[in-house]
Amino acid sequence: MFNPILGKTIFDFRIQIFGWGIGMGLLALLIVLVYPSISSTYGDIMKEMPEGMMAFFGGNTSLHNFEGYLSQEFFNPAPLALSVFAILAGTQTIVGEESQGTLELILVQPISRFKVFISKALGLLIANGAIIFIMLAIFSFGVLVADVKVNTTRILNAFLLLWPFLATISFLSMLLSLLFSSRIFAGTVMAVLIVASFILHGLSNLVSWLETYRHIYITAYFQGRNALTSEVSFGHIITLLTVLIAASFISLYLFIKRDIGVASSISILKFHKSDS
Amino acid sequence: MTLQHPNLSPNQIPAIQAIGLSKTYARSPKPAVEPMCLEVYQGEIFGFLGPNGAGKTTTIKMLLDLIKPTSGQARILGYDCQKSSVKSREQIGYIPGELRLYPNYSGTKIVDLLMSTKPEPVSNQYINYLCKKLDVEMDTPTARLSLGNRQKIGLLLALMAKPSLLILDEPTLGLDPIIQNQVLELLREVKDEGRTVFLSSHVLSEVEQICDRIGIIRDGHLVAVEEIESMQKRLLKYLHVTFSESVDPKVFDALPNTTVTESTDKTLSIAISGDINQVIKLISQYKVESLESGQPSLENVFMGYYQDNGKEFV
Repeated sequence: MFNPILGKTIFDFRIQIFGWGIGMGLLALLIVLVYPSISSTYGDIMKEMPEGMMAFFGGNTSLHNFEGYLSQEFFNPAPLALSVFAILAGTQTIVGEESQGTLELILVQPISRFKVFISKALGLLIANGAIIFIMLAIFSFGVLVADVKVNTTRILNAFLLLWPFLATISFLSMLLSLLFSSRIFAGTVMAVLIVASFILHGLSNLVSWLETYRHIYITAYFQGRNALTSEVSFGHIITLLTVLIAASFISLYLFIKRDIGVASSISILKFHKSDS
Repeated sequence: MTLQHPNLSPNQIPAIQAIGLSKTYARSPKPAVEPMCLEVYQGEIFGFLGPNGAGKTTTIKMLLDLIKPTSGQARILGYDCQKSSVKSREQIGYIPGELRLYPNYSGTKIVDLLMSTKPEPVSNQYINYLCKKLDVEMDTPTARLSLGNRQKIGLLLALMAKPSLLILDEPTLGLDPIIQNQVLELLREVKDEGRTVFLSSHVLSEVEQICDRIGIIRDGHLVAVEEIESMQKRLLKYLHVTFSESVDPKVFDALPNTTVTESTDKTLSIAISGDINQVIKLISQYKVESLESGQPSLENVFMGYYQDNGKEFV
């Protein structure tokens, strides 16, 4: 029986979903609304930027159209900002509830841990998706009001590609929280990884030896900017989805084997010793 | 230790059966629960006693499959707690020692949520009966409720599906005396219906009042499982004697299974396990002003297991 726990998981995220969705949506709206007034000069302004600075912020995007502008101004920082929600949600879903003591309430009911996990994982996916949907709805309203000509497919793809990226961040955060048995530690590690990836990914456009490590920068796997300005790398998307699925399976395994409510500590060796 | 219950028919499955059940946490070299064998019979109220850190909660959590045992197995009404954990939890209603409820949810909302996880429909009539009996505040978010009112919701959640086995860890914590009595009454009703209660409590008077048997756990060892009455009979008896003359307590202390717990020049408090006649014979050699005797309370029994000077009586 998935529905009650799934419903509760989504209900518990409702404030964050609307907060992040509306907040980031309004930012997207503002970016759309100012576009008509700067569209004629935006490309020139960006051309005047030092080459190195341009490369750091994504480099070769086409800046003479709305998609290039949107890629630079919104889809450059948005994945980083939304990762904050993804990390908080991922670490809260199991370990957060466990440390609050409320996970027991569900786990002592006649329902398997597998079903609890699936319900919570679906809730996490839906919460990430709902934020993107709200952002897209507000953004679309802005496009209609500002009467901007847009490539609908590219923009839709850019928004939709946020979903696997954020879901992967959420599931990796959940996995780390299960490994470390500490929400704060896992969240910190994940946040440092994302910020470091963002910075190194930007620098890799300038420093050749950093470019060779591009495959380990998690932010490089967000293909939304490519969807707006060039071609999407399906290899990157498949890699992201593979990591997402692997993180889900490992998290499920750890959750099923986990001792619930045992004092948490930063230890990945918290498995029980079992004869069976 | 596997005990034979006089009223247990050969075909009757124990409500709880632990066979060599143990737990050692990865970060601790010392076992939290040493290999434990225990049977709790259907239809009884079983008290599970021990101080904080003795292994009570770990044992309970292993029964609920919240904690995985290091060795051994546990069964709830024949269902393996790990291999058939869902089936075994279908039989259980549970209230934890440290109850945490969803802070933004009201009692009604939590009941609705957890009702939907039950295999059988839960009777609204019975829920209403429990609400009335326990005087539960159902419409306020639990964050705004007192400890006692939250505990009432916990009891309601444990009892509402009429489970075959109730596992209650400090169920009367924070409750006023009137509601405490109502809870004990409810537990007697549960027993009268042939259902089983596994009760962990620090309130020994409460355990003494309603439990048929008790198990005592110390440092992870199950040191005793016995009917309360026979345990009291078998264990300590107390004599408080006032003599007309000075008495050397060492003379009494030297008797087997006898300890002088308190003494002044002319008075002695003596704890005796086993035969009382030898002490009476010795007392008769002195001129006695008064003699008082008493059966031990459960607290005396419990303390006997826990105080160093009481170990010899076990």
